[in-house]
Amino acid sequence: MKEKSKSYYGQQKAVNGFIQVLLLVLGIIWILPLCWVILTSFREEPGSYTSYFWPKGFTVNNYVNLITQDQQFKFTKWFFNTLLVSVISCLGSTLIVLAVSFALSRLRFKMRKPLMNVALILGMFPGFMSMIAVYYILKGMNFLSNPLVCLTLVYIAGAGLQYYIAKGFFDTLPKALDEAAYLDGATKSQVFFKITLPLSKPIIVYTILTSFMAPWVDYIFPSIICGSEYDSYTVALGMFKMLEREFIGAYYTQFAAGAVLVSIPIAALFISMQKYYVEGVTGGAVKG
Amino acid sequence: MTEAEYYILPWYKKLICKASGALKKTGRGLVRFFQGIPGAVLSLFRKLGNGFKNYGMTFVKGGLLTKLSYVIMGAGNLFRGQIVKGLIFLLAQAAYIWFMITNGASCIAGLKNLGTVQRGWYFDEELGIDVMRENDDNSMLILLYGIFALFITAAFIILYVTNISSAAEAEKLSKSGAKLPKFKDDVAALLDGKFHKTLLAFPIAGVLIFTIVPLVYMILLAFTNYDKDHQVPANLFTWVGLDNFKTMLGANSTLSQTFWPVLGWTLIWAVFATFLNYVFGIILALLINKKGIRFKSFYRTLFVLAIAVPQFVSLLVMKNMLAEAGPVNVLLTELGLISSPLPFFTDPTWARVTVILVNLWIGIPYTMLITSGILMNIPDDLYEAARIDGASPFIMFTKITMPYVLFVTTPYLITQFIGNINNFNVIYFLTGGNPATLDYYQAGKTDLLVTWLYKLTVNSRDYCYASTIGILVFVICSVISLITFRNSQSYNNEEAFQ
Amino acid sequence: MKKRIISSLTAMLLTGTIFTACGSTAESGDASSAGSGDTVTLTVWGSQEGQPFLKRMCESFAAANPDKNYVFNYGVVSEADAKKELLKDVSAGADVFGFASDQTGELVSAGALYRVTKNKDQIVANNTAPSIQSATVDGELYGYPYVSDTYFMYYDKSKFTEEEVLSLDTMLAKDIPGTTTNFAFDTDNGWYQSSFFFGAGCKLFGDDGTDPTMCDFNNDRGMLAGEYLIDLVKNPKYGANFDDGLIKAGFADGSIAAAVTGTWNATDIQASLGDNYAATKLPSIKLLNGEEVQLGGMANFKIMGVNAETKNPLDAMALAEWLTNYDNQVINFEERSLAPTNVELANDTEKLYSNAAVAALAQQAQHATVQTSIPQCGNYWTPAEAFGQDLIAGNITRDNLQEKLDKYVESVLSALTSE
Repeated sequence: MKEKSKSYYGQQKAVNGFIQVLLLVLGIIWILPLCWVILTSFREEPGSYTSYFWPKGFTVNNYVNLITQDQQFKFTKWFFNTLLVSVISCLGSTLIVLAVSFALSRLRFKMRKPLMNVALILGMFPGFMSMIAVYYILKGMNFLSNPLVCLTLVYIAGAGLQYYIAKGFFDTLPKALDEAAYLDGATKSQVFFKITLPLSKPIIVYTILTSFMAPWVDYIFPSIICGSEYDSYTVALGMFKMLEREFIGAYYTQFAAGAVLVSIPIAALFISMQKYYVEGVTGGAVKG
Repeated sequence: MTEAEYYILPWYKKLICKASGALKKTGRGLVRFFQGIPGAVLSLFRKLGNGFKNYGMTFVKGGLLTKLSYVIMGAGNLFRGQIVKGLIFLLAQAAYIWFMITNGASCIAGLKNLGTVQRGWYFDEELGIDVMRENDDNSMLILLYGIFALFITAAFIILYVTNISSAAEAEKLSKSGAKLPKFKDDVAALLDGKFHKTLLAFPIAGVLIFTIVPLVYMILLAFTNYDKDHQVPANLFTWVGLDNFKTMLGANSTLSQTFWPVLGWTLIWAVFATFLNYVFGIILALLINKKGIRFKSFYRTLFVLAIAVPQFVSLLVMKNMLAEAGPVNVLLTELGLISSPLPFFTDPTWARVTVILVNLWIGIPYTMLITSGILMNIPDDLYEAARIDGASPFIMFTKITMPYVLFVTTPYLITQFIGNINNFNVIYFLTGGNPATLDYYQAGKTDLLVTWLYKLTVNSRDYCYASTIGILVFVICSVISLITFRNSQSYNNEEAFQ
Repeated sequence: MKKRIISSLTAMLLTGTIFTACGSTAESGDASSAGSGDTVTLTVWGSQEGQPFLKRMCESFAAANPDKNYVFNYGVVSEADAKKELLKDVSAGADVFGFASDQTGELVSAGALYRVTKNKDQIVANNTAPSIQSATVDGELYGYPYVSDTYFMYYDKSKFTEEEVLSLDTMLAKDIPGTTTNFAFDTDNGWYQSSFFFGAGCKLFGDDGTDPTMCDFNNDRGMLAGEYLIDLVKNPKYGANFDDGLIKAGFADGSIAAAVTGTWNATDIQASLGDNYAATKLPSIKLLNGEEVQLGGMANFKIMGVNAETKNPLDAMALAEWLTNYDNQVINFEERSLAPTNVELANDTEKLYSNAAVAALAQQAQHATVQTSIPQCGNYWTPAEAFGQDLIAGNITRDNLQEKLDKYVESVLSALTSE
C-alpha cells in the first residue's frame, strides 16, 4: 500500500513537472507577439520588416514623436477622441443594458417573450450592410458634422440588444427579495433602484468594461462615419492609416508604440476586472 | 438498448450511438421549428381578426365621444378631463397628417418603382457649362425614406389603436362613476405597474432606428438590382424579385460558384474555431488549476494578457509576424530550422490552418478564463469517488468535467459558434481573405461569407448580392441557434435558479 | 400604453428631422448660386501627406481671385480612397478632389464627376495625350490630370552596371555576394504583373483599352508571358512577393539589388543606397521562343475631379484647373517628386532629368499602356491578384497554364449573372 502511494506520488510529480514545462512553453508562445510589439516600439531602425529578430538599436523617440508630432498623425487627439466616446457610450450603454435586462428578467408583461425573440433574431444578421443606411439616417438627423456624437449615439442605441448576459445574471437573483419588497409596498422602480442594482455590482462592472472597450477596437463603423474628418478619427481608424503604403515604412515603429499605448489601459482594465467578466459570462453560476 | 448494453459497446460504437442520438435530436428540433411556423402564422391572423372585430364592436357600442375618437384622436380623453393625454393624441394626429401631406405620401408611393426620373444634364448658356436637370430620383434614398415613412405609419397606427382603447376605457370608467386617472397618475404608473414601459421605451426606440430600419433596408436591397451597373445617383435601380437568390444559389453563375465553396469554408471554420478553442481552453484551465502546479495566477495573467490587448492590434501584429519576411520566419531561419520561409498566408491550405491557429491564440485564453471558475466549483468528492472506482483521468474528464462545464456554458458555446460564422475581424485583419483565387468572384480562399459580403460592398459595390448573402447568413445562423437554444437547458429552464 | 405613446413619439420626432433631407435631395444640382455670392465655400480632398501642399495651392488660388472670398474646408481622403469615400454619398463629397485614373470609369458611371466643358480645349492641349485619354469617357472629358504615375526599376549601382540592367535574364544570372534577391517584384499585384503580358504584346480591353469584351491574355503571346512567369517565380534570385515594406527593408539591409516600384519610395530608397542609388526603365525579358521583349507597364494618372453635385460648379472648376496648372505641377514635381502631365513641363527634359526617379518614370512611361477608364477595368484586379498568388504558390504549371489563363480572362470579362 505504501509502495503504491509512493509510486503514485512520484508519478504525479513527473506529470506535474511535465505540465509545468508545457505551461512555460505555451506561455512563451502566447506572450511572444506582445514582446515583439514592445521590442518594435523601441526599435531605432524604421521599417515594417527587418531581416533580424533583435533590434540593433533602442530608442524612446517612437513614443515621443507619436505623442508630440501631429503633422501626419494626430495620435494624441485620436486617443482622447476615443476616450471621450468610450466613456460617454459606456455610461449610456450601461444604463440601457441594466434597464433592458431588468425589465426582461424581473418583470412579467405580455410582450416579453416576443421582444426577446426579436432581439435574438436581430443579433444574427451581419451588420455591415446596414451601416450605410445608418450613415444616411445620421445624415438625416444632421449629426454627421460631428462624427464622435454619431459614434456615441449608435453605440448606445445598439446596447439595447446586448442584454443577454446581464439578464442571465438577474435571473439568478432570488425572487423572494423582490416579493418581500412588494409586500412592503415598494413600487417596481424602487425595487429596481434599491434592491436589484445594489446587488448587481459584477454585472455593472462587466457591462461598463465591455462597452468601454468597444470603441477602441471598432474599425469598420468609424471608417464609414468619420470619412474625411481626419480630426475626428478614433485610434483604431487612425492607426490603420499608419499601415498604408505611403506610411508603413516610416511609421511602423510608431504604430507599434501606439499599439502599446492603447493596449496598456485596456489590458490593465481588463485584467483588474476579469473576475467580473467571468461572473458576467457564466451568469453568476461561478463565484470565483 | 439498455444502459448495460450501451456500456459494453466498444468506444467507436458508443460514438456512433451518441452521434445518431444528437442527429435525431436535431431533426426533432427542426421538425418542431417548422411545425411551429403555421401555428404562429395562424395565431397572428386570429389576433388580427380579433383586433378588427374589436375595432368594429367598440365603434358600434361606444358613446358619442368614443365614436368621435375614431376621427379626431384624443377626443374621448380630452372631453373627459384627461387633457394632457388627449392633447398628446391630437398633436400626434396633426403631426402625422402634416407629415403625410408634405413628404410621407410621396415617399411611400416612391417605393413602388424606386424612382423614374434618371439624372440628366443640359447646357446652360449663361454659365457656359453643363448643369444638372432638377428633380431627378435617387433610388437608394427613395427606398430608405419609404421604409421610414412606413415605420412612422406603423407607429401612428399603434397610437391610433391605443387612442381608441383609451377612449373606450375612459367611457367605461366614467359610466361606472369611477375617477378617471389624471396624467400624474399615468406617470406614477410608469414607475410601478408599467415600469417595463419606461425601462424599454428608449432602448426600443434606439434599436428601432439604428438597427431595425437599416436592417429592413438591407433586406429589401436583396430584391433589387442595385449592383455595380446600377450605381446611384446617376442610375436608377428597381425591384427584381427573387432573381438574386436564383443567381446566388443556382448552379451556373460565377456567384454561385463562389457562394457554395465559401459557405463550406465558413462552416468548417466556425466548427474548428469554436470547438478547438473550447476543448483546448478547458484543457488549459485544467492544467493551470491542477493540484501541485505552481505560479497559477502568474500563468492565468499571462494568458489573459494576450486577450486584453485590443484585437485589431494583436491581429495586425500577428499578420506581420507570420508574413513571409516576418519575425517568425526570420527567427526560424536564424535558428537554422528552415531554409525557405514558411508560406503561412500565401498557400491556401497553410493560410486556412494559420487563421484557425491564430484564432486559437485569441480564443483559448477566453475559454480558459471562463471555465477556470466553473472547474473550481465542481465538487471534489465527485472526482474522489471516481478515483476510488479506478477511473482514468480521461474518463473523469469526459464523464465529470465536460458535462458539468457544458451545462453551464452551452449558451456561451452557441453564441461563440454564431459569432464565428460572422467573425469579421480575424479574417479581415489577418489575411483580408487572401490568398485570392481565380475560381471565386471577388473572394479569396480564407474569405468567410461576411468578409466576402464586405468586399462586395466596398470593392465592387454589388449591394444587392451582398444583401442576398446577408440574408442567407441569417437563415443559416437562425436555424442553427433556434434548434440548439430550444434544446438547451438555459432556454427551457429560465427560472430554474430564481 | 404610455410607453407606446412615448416610443412612437420619439420615433416620429427623430424621423421628422430626417425628412427635411428627403425633401431637399433634388436641390443639389442647383447652379444658380454660383457666381453671385461673395463668400464661396469649397471642400477639397487630398491625401494626408499632400495636405500642406494642397493648402498652399488653395491659398494661392484665393489670392489670385481677390474678387471673391473663398473659404476652404480640407478633408483627408487619398487619391486611392476617393471612389470609396465619394460613392458612399456623392452629395456630401468634396467639391474638388483628386482620384486615381483607374476609378474614372466607375465614378462616371455612378454620376459622381462633373463633365468638363469650360476651357476644355485648353486643358486638353496643356496635358499629355495619355493623361487626357485616362480622364475621358465616350469622348467627354471628366477631370484635370496632374500626376503621371507608373513604376520603374530602382537598382544598386554597385551591384549592376548600366548594361546589365537592360536585361532581366542577365540580372538574374549574376551572382552577387551578400545579396539574396537580384530582382524584387510584386507578382500578385495586377498593376505590376501586367508588365509581363503587355511586354509580350497582349492587350487588355482591346487596342484602345475601351472594349469591355476584349482581353487576350490567354492567346499565344499570353502563354509565352505565362510560361516565362512560371520559370521566373521558381528562380531563387527572383523575389516574387515583394511589397513596398519588403522592398524598402531589402534595400536598407542590402539583401536586394534591384526592385520595381514607384516614385513614392524614392526618398527612402535613395537614403538607403546613397551614392549607389539609380533608377531606370524596366528590363527586357527573353521569351521561350527566343524573342527579346521590353517589359511594359500600366500608366496611371492622378486626376482632379469636380463633384457632379457641387453647389458652385464654376468656382470648383476654376480651382481644379488652378490646382493642376503648370506652376502647381512644378511644385508637385520639385517638392514631392511627382511626375507631371503638363506638356510643357513633361517635355522640359533638362528639368525633369534632375530627378532620377522621375526620369526613369518618364522613360518607362513610353513603354506603358494607359490604364483604361471603362468601368469593366475594376474587374481586372482580383483575377490578376489571384493569378499571381496561384503562381507564387506553385499551383500553375505548364500543363494547366492555358486553362488558368482562360479562367483569368473569363473573370476579367465576365458579367456576374452570365453563365
